[in-house]
Amino acid sequence: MPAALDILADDFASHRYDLNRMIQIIALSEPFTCDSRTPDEAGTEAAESGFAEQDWSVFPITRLRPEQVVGGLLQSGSLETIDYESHILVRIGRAAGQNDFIERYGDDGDEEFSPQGGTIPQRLLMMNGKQVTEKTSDSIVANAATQIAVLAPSDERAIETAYLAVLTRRPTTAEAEYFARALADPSDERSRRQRLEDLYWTLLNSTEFSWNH
Amino acid sequence: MEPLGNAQRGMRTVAPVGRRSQAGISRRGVLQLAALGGASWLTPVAHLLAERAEQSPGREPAQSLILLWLAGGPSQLETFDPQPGKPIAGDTRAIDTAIKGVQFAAGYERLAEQAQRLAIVRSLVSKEGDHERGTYLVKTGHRPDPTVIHPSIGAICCHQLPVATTEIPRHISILPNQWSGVGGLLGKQYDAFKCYDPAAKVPDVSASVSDERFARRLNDLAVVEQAFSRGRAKQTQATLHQATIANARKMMSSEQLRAFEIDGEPLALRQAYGDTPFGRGCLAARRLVEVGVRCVEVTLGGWDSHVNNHEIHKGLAPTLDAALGALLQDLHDRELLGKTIVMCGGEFGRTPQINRLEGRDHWPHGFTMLLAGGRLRGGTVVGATDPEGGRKVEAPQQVADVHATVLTALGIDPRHEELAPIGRPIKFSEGQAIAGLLQ
Repeated sequence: MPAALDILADDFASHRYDLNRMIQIIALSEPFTCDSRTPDEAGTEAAESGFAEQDWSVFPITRLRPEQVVGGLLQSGSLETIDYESHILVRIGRAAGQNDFIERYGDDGDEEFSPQGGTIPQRLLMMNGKQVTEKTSDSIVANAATQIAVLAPSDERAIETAYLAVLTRRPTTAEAEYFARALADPSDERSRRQRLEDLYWTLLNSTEFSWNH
Repeated sequence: MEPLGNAQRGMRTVAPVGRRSQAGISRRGVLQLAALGGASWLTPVAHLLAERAEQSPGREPAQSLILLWLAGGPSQLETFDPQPGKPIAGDTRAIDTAIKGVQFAAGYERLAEQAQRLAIVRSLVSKEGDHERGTYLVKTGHRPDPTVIHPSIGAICCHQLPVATTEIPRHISILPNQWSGVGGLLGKQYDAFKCYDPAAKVPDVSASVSDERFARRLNDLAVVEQAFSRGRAKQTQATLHQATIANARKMMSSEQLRAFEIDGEPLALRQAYGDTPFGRGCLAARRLVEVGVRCVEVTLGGWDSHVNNHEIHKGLAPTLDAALGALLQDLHDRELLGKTIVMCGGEFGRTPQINRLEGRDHWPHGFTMLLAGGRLRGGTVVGATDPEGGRKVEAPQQVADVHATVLTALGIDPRHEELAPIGRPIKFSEGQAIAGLLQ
């Protein structure tokens, strides 16, 4: 059992079993903010042996639940946070889109920790489904991809904003360079808007978007 | 449609034309092959093989299942178990069928003509009188259990029967309600792929951008995947995310998707199935079975007749009669009926008593399931309900028994066990195959 659990258990018991306090402590801790990967390729041996997961030093990659995927999808299509303060129409639109998506994506129920991968219909829905298509086609009102294409002052900022909106992280150097080249490529027949839409689609269809890590 | 002749009625006794032996070759086929190959020395062996092929005509199990799901729970009295003249019948009329002494409710004339193809189980009993629980029971063969999700029978077919060259999902639910077939403990990959009226395009299988742009998107995706897998290559690979995308791509570009398109079928055939979403769904089901899909579920809803039972059933009968009648004939004409099992029923029956709103309520104590195809014995009726409306049923059959029968007809061992996630062995079916239905 990892030592941190003993510390947490002692603290939980000595503070009258205060769940709020425990959640705060966990959420504010450094490990909580860490990405679930070993620092470099040399460390993969530990990960591959399963030791890192057993030791709880790496969080196992787990499938996101359908409502988490659709929540991420709908939020990524907006440059502003959609929450209880959003306009009622925005919230109604979100709820309607959510139900439709979950129905087609399929509910994993309690099986999120089972070692099975996602399904073909789930991938088809993410590649070609109505919601993703709406979020990645030319519309200044309906999606952030177009808004970023219009509003971002530079290609670099556009790429960074897309990564932050979809994956909640900045691109790696390699990714930033690759997509900057793609956006600036004069031989490419796609418009700049289309290139950003394609970037959005790509990020939405990544393993990273659909799996907790 | 012309009434069935005696030869067609006596399917069991007619020498099966064009049927294949277990080795997949008929006697004539073996001899022709030997002759074509110039292998005259093979002739004695060929004869021996051919004799063996002929000794077991049609013994090979069926390969696909078509489940016509009558969602809401149809009344046995207004469909395939009428009790004309009895107080419980209301004014429902009955018609004779091709099986002597067996009647269907008026409205099922086409099925009545083809009754020799049907195995009619009239004595199904269950303890599940709730729509969701009843649906679970009839689709999986097991009562709901909070510790495990049992696989639907279609998922079992996909799990057990070979993939062959099928590139599209092998478990398909057309016009699904909220409880289409699931893989349960076998895995989500066995869940039914949901699609709707075949008059419209199959959802989500066409890219919204040009092929060129789509290919570029996939190239770009490799860059993002590479960044993600750094430091967790094995874990990333274990998600099968990329492999699933590759399989989804294969489906998107598969010619077999055309099986969903019924426009190319002759007008007369489309008309025979009926100009309804359900009729089109049944026609698509036949096309899908032809490309190796193992289970197609087609749902016809609206049977939950708590109010105005008779009107509701009269309204639905033409749709079901046309579609199922045409499906059986079409499968027969294409020599597919021997390779396909057809199941038709809902989650329970309806009360013999008519309520104050002219409706019938839920009744799991004696209801009907139609079976056809494969090695199932057509022209058979199993059990009987009480003509006076009591709960006493002759030769009662559990839903699990129907499952064991159908699985056996598909060459699947109903006693086969798979492990639930918690390590508990679960049989495909706890029932006993109904011996009189298997040839």
